[in-house]
Order: sequence, then structure tokens, then C-alpha cells
Amino acid sequence: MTISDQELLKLQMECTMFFENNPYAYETARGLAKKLGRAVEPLQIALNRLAAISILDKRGEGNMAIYSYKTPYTQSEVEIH
Amino acid sequence: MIEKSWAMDVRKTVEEIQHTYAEFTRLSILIVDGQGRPLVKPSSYHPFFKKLVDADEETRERFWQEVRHYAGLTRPALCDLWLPGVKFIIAPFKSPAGDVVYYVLAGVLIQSGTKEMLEEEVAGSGLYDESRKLLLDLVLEAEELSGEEAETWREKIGKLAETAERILRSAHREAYVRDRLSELRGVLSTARRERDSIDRTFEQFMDVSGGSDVMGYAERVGPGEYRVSRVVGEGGSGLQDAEFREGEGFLGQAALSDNPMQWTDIQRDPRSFFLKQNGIGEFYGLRCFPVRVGGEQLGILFIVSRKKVQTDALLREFEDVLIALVGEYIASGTIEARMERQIQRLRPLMEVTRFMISAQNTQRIMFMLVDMSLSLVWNPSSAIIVHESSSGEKVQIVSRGIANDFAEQYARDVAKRILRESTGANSAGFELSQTEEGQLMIEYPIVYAGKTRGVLAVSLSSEQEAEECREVLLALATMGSIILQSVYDQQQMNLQNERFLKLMYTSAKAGQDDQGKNTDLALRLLDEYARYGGIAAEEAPFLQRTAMLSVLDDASRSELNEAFAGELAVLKEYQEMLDSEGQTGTFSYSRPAQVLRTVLYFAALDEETAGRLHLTGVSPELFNHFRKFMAVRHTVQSEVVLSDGAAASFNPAEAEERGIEAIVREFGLSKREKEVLELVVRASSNKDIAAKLFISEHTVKNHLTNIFNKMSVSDRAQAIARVFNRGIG
Amino acid sequence: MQETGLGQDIVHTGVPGLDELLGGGVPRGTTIILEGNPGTGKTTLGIQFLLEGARQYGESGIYITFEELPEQIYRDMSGFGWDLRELERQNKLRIICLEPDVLLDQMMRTDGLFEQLIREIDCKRVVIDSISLFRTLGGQQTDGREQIYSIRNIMRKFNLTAFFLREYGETEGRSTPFENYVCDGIIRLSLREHLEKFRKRTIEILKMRGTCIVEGEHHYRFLKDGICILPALSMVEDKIVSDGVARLSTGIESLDEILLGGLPQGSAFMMDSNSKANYKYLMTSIYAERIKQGDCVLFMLSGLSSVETLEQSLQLFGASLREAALEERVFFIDHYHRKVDPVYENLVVHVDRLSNEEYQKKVYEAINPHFRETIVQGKRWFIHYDLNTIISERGREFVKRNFADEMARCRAAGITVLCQSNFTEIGLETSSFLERASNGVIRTWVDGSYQYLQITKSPGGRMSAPHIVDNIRERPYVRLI
Repeated sequence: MTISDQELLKLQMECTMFFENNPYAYETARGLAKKLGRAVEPLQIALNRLAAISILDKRGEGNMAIYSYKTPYTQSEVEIH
Repeated sequence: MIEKSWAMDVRKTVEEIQHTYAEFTRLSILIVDGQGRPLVKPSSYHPFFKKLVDADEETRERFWQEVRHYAGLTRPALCDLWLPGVKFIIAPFKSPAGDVVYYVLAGVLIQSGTKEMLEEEVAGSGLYDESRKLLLDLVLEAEELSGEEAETWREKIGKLAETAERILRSAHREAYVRDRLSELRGVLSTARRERDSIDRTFEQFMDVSGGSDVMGYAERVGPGEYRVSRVVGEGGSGLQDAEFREGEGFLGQAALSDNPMQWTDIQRDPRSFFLKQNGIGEFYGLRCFPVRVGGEQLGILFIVSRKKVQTDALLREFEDVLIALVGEYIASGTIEARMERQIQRLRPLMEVTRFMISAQNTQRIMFMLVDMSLSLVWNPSSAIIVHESSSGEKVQIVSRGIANDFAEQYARDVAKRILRESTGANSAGFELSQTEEGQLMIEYPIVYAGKTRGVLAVSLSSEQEAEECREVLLALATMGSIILQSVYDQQQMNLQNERFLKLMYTSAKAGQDDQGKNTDLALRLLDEYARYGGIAAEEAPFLQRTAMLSVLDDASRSELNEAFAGELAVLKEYQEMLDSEGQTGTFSYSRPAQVLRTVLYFAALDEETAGRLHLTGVSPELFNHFRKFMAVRHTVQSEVVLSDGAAASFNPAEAEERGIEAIVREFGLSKREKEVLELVVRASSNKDIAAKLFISEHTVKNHLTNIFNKMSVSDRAQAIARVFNRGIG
Repeated sequence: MQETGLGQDIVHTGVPGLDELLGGGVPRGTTIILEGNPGTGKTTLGIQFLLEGARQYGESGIYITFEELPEQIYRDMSGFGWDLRELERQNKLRIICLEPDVLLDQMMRTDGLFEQLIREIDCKRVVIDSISLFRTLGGQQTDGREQIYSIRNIMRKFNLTAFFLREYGETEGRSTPFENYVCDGIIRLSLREHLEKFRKRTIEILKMRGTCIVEGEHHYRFLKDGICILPALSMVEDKIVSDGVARLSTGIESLDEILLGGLPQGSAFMMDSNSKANYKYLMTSIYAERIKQGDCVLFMLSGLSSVETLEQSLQLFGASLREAALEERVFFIDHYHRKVDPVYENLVVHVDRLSNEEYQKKVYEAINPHFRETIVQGKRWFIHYDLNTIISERGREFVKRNFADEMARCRAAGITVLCQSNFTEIGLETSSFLERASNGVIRTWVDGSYQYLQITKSPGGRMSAPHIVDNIRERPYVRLI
């Protein structure tokens, strides 16, 4: 499965936005494909990439893998000194 | 095969010269190829030549057989044909390529005083009629020449051959260069048409150019670092992906130069080591062409020649220009690809922008900026936003892919370096910095409301990456700034409205003493109730605004209609609740309205008056919870008076537990009574207690009576207050 | 919540009306099948179960859906004013939208997603929408029973109270589905076409282990803030309504339904009718019901209705005015000084030829002793107030001056009042005043060849749709459709 950089990036953005909007969602590539109206295979590549750069959590492998949003580390009270 | 070098114009020129010579020498002249085929029209001073040309196949063949005896001549010579004494001058000359020999035939020459003798010879020879007749004519027509004269003519005809050869050669060179140029133009147009197939361009170029054996392109991959990204030609594959640095070897030297460089006869030069080592082997020469755009070196085109090849200087020059052009195409292709990649990354940013605008929440926008910036760089590892906090001495961070303590340390550094600088943004819109750990970070100031308020920083693997990503990240950061500005504006607007509301509230309550005092208390109660956990922290200000609005008259309210639509909706519900108080039926008021009703009710409650046990439309759970809060509040307040600062560390849940334990011990409550009391304190209704303990409501009432008696209190509120009193004590 | 070790830990669904049908709630760890055709509100009820759990009892829940997009659910539920996203932020709710096989895979793993979620939000309630899809997992032979069995056991293991949603039509005509055996209860939602226009939504509890249920079909409605179940009338009589207010049946089932069980005790309702409309049956049914229930009733007689005519019409509804008179729990105000049967003699307050002040004094003095006495006995009071008569006899000003006060006093005393009036005749100003002073308005009018009835105001703020008043042969002779 090959996919152009542009396509991949677009999917990545779509997925990121989906999860930012649904921070408590748990999705498989199949499920998300249905929701976003995208093909499963490229979506899987995008999701795995997002998991690799730790935007998403991934549990399980292959078709059974479930992705969910990983809230970024936030700290609102860092003293400057 | 008519030689391609004998093009029409060449033929005409040679013919012209041939005629001149013929006239001058009074000889018949014929120029032929090795097979005796005439190449130009003969200059016939003798009918013989005409006859020879027109003669039958056999006669011609016999004649050429005679001529062929002299094949291998390299200089013009006087040759006897058919009969000794019948002489011809044969002058050979070469084709421009040097592979074919042509001949100039001139004749006939007869030694003076031999004509009669030759006539007899011909007559008495065994030649058949046609040939004899021809030969006879030949002899009869020939002039008798002295030996010196013959020698002079030989030289002249030799000159003719030389001239013909020169004409051919120069014509050939012209044609060759023309053809080559057109081939090279073909290479160029391929290079232009198919930018992505540089390999094909290289191959084509090498086909056309004589002395090119390996051709390649080394791309700059980092500051001072190059990698061979494409290479074609036999034995060149070893070079693929080979890396070198600026100044290293010939290629490295070429990288330092703005101009094409050329080296020849470099077999023993140590600088050739890099190429030799990578499978090129021995080679004779190297040409290098820098590929640049603006001041930026993108890479080097190079051509290796294994052997010395003599190339036409004009062609060579043209090749150089051509390669430079190919280099330009590579450069523009690189830039275009770079731009395309930027555009690819910018395009989805449009959608992201829409999404971010809809978020209208600083934290969520920061999440998006971090997540999106990670998606936009080639080798994502980490991203962080450092944003000023409402308090000047603190910053807020959102990060991904960075260890938490490191993120905080980095945030401090950024805060000192960038946020505290009042000078504003760097003109480039970003800065590169290196962390203590050596991590390269690209940092973009987030500027809004007239000041740098945050920094978006993304870790990068190299400066090269920085160059490629900087524009798109700049776009993202700029977009983030703009959106944060809009959120900020919104907040300012809200603050403005709130200040306005407070002013109106202050002036309105001046006219209504009691209600104003009650509302002030309600505002405090809302704060405290939020700390107590009854409502979310962000609900308190909302309800406080609603409470303030309740004091205003209709006209003032309608002025604030747009700014406080949500609050006014709740206020409307609140007023409906007031109207329906005491009525029966099913009510469904929103929770904020219920809280407001309860808080304002208690705030207005005279301490001496026994409160109601129920408010119409308020859920019993909420009501009881608030009543409990009021009881606790009261006790805590009295406590605060006694021992300063006790309230700060006050924890209701712990107090509850301690209080119940104390009461159980003090008044000797049974296990079941303790359970009932715990539920009472947690604001359960009798019905709930019954359900939870699986006993009837009647039994619950009995338990309660016993508990109240033991504790000597008269109702729930007092019991709860006592539990908390003990809990605090 | 503390485990007592003694009693069972009861879970309240929090869905209005449902806990009453379930005898208070269901034991913790119960798995209930909620079945119904599409459009019956399974999803709404399921979400409501989780939402009320979170709001009222601090219990978190997980909603597992295989079909709907979460977005859809968030949007649909916001129609009821439910902000599910906020609940998610508060860790009170998770909506999980996964394929059944993936979900099951995660459920079976130690420390899989499901276990982690339960821990993360301290989950107590689960809704699976729907288990029908599990059937396809096990293949043809097994009917998905292993999967359903596993899931049911997982619920039990974590002590989760669960609703399993199931399409009703799916199991029809087949042998009893497997899950009926492994689950603890079955609730069925139905939507019946009824007389063309009127659709009846009913809920029925078919089975429930470990709790005492109210059998039969009960109606439910979609209100603006969710589903509300109206327990069948047989229950209304003896149940304690959650808001502590008893509902007085009107004797007309369909009218009770739109009044959410009947007239709330202590409320003042207005029956607004034009002269053409036949309100008599409606009114009489309401009095008859009161008399039958042993309540005290005060009638204001109009020029057209005497004690005799009243006695007759009540008889039609199976209520004996005479017996009630003997028990001294019916009273009359008569402006026309008509002779009555001796049985009623002491019970009639004659108010003819009295000034307004004298009238008020006389009525108060006559009724008050009875009132005090009967209230001690725990009797409920009901007043029929004929505004048409009062306005013609006492004048518009009198009504304007006193009506609101009188109604407030009645309310305070827990007396239910039904006023009869004709707003069109009274005029806009007075009628809108009267409407404001009442808790509810029942309007009935004739338009074309139909008589209509509509609740235009009620204490809960709800208006009903207009219904057609239809005459029937048996008591109560009218019904609403």
C-alpha cells in the first residue's frame, strides 16, 4: 500500500481533529474509516503514524487495534524562577 | 551508399573546384569512391571519360579493376592503366571520419613521343572491340607531356584531393556539430519535460556526449554535507548514497565553488580517492557543476570520463552550458518539490484553521497547535507550547514527546529568553535554539494582543529539516496567534461586559438595601459552594452574574441581552420558579436555575426563621446538599473565629468521618443508627435511606427519631451541624 | 455508598416512573434486556439510565454502541438538554463506539480497554446497544450465545448494572433467545398504532429477578427532558408519587394520561368550555371519582344544575351522592334557594339574597367546621367552583378581588379545586387573570363536527396536544383520542 505524502498528511489531520473533538473516543481503523468516510488501509497508516508520534494511544494489533487520543502533557503552573 | 558527408552543397563545391582544376590542367578529372562510383559529375576534357562513365557495366568494371590495383595509395601517383605508357594521376583522400578512401582520377597522360607506339600497341592487343576502341580514343585524345609537366600535374591533382578532403571534413564537422546540438537540445527538453526522471536525462546526455562515462548528482543534505542521490553509467552504482563533506576530494572542492570545475589527467591525484573507492575505478577526467538557487547550494552535478577523448571545443563548451541548464532544472525541480511539500502541508492547515476557530478555547487551541506541528515536520519527535499564565511569574505548558521535567525546564528557559523580551518577534518569525541536551528546537513566538504571549517549539533532527519545515510551521504558529487573538478579544469583551454588569449591579443595589445585601451574600455563597464541591468552579462566576442580573430592572437587563444570553435564560427560569413556588406538578428546571433558586433562597433567609424543607422545582438532593453546606459553613465560620486559618485545610469528607465517629462514641449509636446517620449527612432522603439499607421508610423514621433523641437535636439540619462540629473539633 | 452487608444494594434507574414499576430499583449487578422496535426510545432510555445515574447517584456509566456514531448520540441527546460531552469531561460517562468483535476481544483481555475504563471512571452502569450484533459473531450454530454469556458474566464480575438493548422484531417468531435465560430481566418498549392518529407508547416489564415489579403495560412519553413513564392507573391510587404530591384521577383514563396521572392534589384547575361543548361528562366523571374515593366534595350549584340533577348524573357514573350525604362529605352552595331532599338539607348553604361580604362569611362559617373535622380524619377535599354562576351572582369585581386569594388558601390547605367557566363569555381581561391564578387549564371546545380538549396550562408547564373528545357507550362515556 503506497500513499502520497499529501494524502497521508490530510488523513493525519483529519484523524487528529476527530480525536481532539472526541477525546474520549476509542476507534478501530475500520470504525473510523466509516465515520470519516475514508478507505481503511490509508487510514491505518495515518493512525499508526499518529500513534508513532504519540498523539494517539494504540492498543492491540492489526484489525483489532484500538486508537484513542492521548492528552498532551499539560502543566499550568510552571514557575519561571 | 552515398556518404552522408557528400551532401548536395559539398558536392557542388567539390565539383566546382574539380572543374577549375580540369580547365587548368586540361585533364579529365573524376572523383570516385572505392567501388569506382563517381561522387561528383566528371570534368571531361576527353570523350573517353564520358564514355567511361556511360559505358557498359563490363567495361567500367574492367577499368576499375585496373584502378583498384593502386588501392592503398596514400599519396598522389602517376599510374599506368591497361598499357604501360597510358598514365593516370590517382590521388587518394579520406572521408572526414577517416574510415573511407576516395580517389581523384585525372588523365590521360602520355609521355611525349610515345603516342604512335601506343597506337600500335592498342591495335595489336588482345582486347575486345569495345575496349580497344575506347583505349584507342583515349590514347589519340591524350596530349603528350614531358616528365616535368606530368610531375607538376600530379602535384596539382594531389592538391585537389587535399582540398576535397578538407571541404568534406569541414562540411562534416558542421553537420556533426549541428546534429549533436540538436541531440543535446533533446536532452535538455527531456530534462525540462520530465524533471522527476533525472536519470533519463543523464542517460541521454551520456549517449550524446562522447566522453562521459558516469554522471551523477550529489544533493546537499545538511550544512556542508552531501549525498550522491542519483547516478547513472556503468560502474557508477557504487556511488549511490555515498556521502562526502565540503572540501573533501574533488567533489568536496567543487561544492565550495560557485563555478563549474574541471580536472583532467588525474589518475594519480589523491583527491580522486573518494570516487575510486566508490566503485568508479581508474578515470581520466572529472567535470563538476554546482547547482544553486539564490545563494543556496543545492548540490553538484558531476561527470566522470574514464578515458581521454578529444572532443570538439565548441561542442564541449555547449555541453557545459547544457549541464549548467540541467543543473538549473534540477534546482528548480528541487525548489518546486520543496514548495509543493509546503503547499501540501499548508492545504490541510485551512481545515485545521476552521476547526481551531470553532474551538474558542485557549487550551484546546494549544492542544491542536502541538498535535498539528508534530504532524507537519518530517521527523516528528516532540513539540511544546509555552504560554504565559495569568500570573506573570508562571507559565503554562502543553507538550508531547518530551519528558515532563525536561519540558518544564525548557519552558523556563524559553520564558526567560523569549517571553520576557519585550522587543517582539524576530524578523524571520522564528528562532533556532539548542537545548542543553543538544536538541535542536525551532521556536515560533505566539504574538497576540500586542505582545509575545507564548512560544510554539518543535524539535528537529537537522538544520536542513528546519529549512524545509520553517515556512509551514510559521504558518501554523501565525494562525495560532490569530485565533488566540480572537479568543482573547472575546474574553476581553466578556470582561468588559462583566465590568459593566458589576457597575450596573452596584448602582442598582444602592436603591434596594435588603435585596442588595442578600445578593452580595449569595455571591459569596456561590464561591464557597464551588470550593465545597457543590458546583463546578466555572459555574460559580456564571451563577454570580445571573444573581447580579436578578437585581437589575428590565430595561438594564435588555441592554445586556446579547452579552449574557445564557445567564438571562437561567434567570428567566429562576423567575418562573419563584412564580410556581408552592404549586404542585412536574417541574423540569435546569440545574443552574435550581442552584440559583436555592442559593438566593438561603441568602435571603433570616437566621431566626426556620427554613423550608423543600423548594418547588429544586431537586431534593440538591436542596439537602446545599442545606448541609450551609450548616457546615456556619460551623466552619464560627471555627475560623476561634482558630485562625483552620478553614484553609478544611476537608469536608474527613470532617464528616471524624464527626460521625465522635458522635457514635459520644452518644452510643448502634451500628444501624450509624449507617442511617451517615446517609443523613450525605443528604439522602428517607426514601433513599430506606432503599439503600433495604428497610422501610417507617423504620428509617424510627431510627431517625432515636438518633435525634440520643444526640438531643430536633431535626436533620441540627444533626448534620453537630456531626461537622465534632468533625472539626 | 456503603455496603451494609444486610440488605441488597439497590440501583435506582433514575428514569422518572421506572423505579416505581421496578419496586424501587434493581439489585446491583443485574443485567436487563431492553427490547423494542426502532423508534421506541431504547437509546434514549439507555442514555437516561446512565445520565440519571451520574446526576442523581454519582454513578458513572459506559454506553457501548455498535451502530450509531457518537456524534449522532451527542446531538440527539442534546435535544433533551443532556450535555453528554460535559459528563465525559467529568469522567461520569464514556461513549464507546467499537465493532462487536473488537469490543469482545478487549473485554476478554486482562487489563483490556474495558477493564481500564471501568477503573478509570469507577463505572457502575453499562448499556450495550445492541446485543443483536453479537449474534453474528459466533457463527450460525451458536447464535452468539457464548459471546452473550461471556459479556453477561463480565458484567456480573465487575458488579455492573447493565441494560442490553435488543431489537424486538428480531426475536419474534423464534424460539426463546438464549439471552433471555442468562439475563435477569426483560423490559419491552412498544409503539402501537391506535385509532389511526393516536400512537400509544407502552413499557412492560416481562421479567425481573430479585425485585417485585408492577405488571402490565404502562405508558411512557418523551418529554423535553427525557422519557417519563406513567405508571398505569391502578398504581396511581396507592403509590406515593416521587414528588410527594398525589394525583387525583379524573376517572377518564386518557385524560389522566395527559395530566400525568390526574389532577395534582392541592391544585386549582380551570375547565374552560364554550356553551356548545359537552363538558358535563368530563366534570361529572371527575366529581364521581372523588365521591367514589371517599373524598369530601363541595359543589357550587348553578341555575341549571340542582342537587337532584347532580344526583342523577353522578349515578350514571356509579357514584352515590345520597350515600356520601349520609356520610356528611358532600356540601352544596346554592344561590337559588331550591328545595332539596331532607337527606341533603343540612348540607346545603343557601346564599341567595346575601351581600358579597355576607356570602363569604356564611360559606366560610358553614364549611370550616366540617373541613377541620374531616382533615383530621385524613380526608381530601375537592371543590367544584362554578365561575359562571359567581360572576352572574356576585359580579366580575368580586371574582377579580377574591379569586386569587381563595385559590391560594385552598392550595395551602391541600384542597383541589376545579373551576368551571366560559372564557369567551367572561372576556379576555378577566379570563387571562383567572388563567394566571389557576395552576392548570383544561380547555374544551367545539370546532366543526368535533369537540376538542387540550391542557393549555399545567403545573409542570406542559401543554398537551389537542385531543378529540369521543363519546363511548360505557362509563365514563367519553374518551380522548
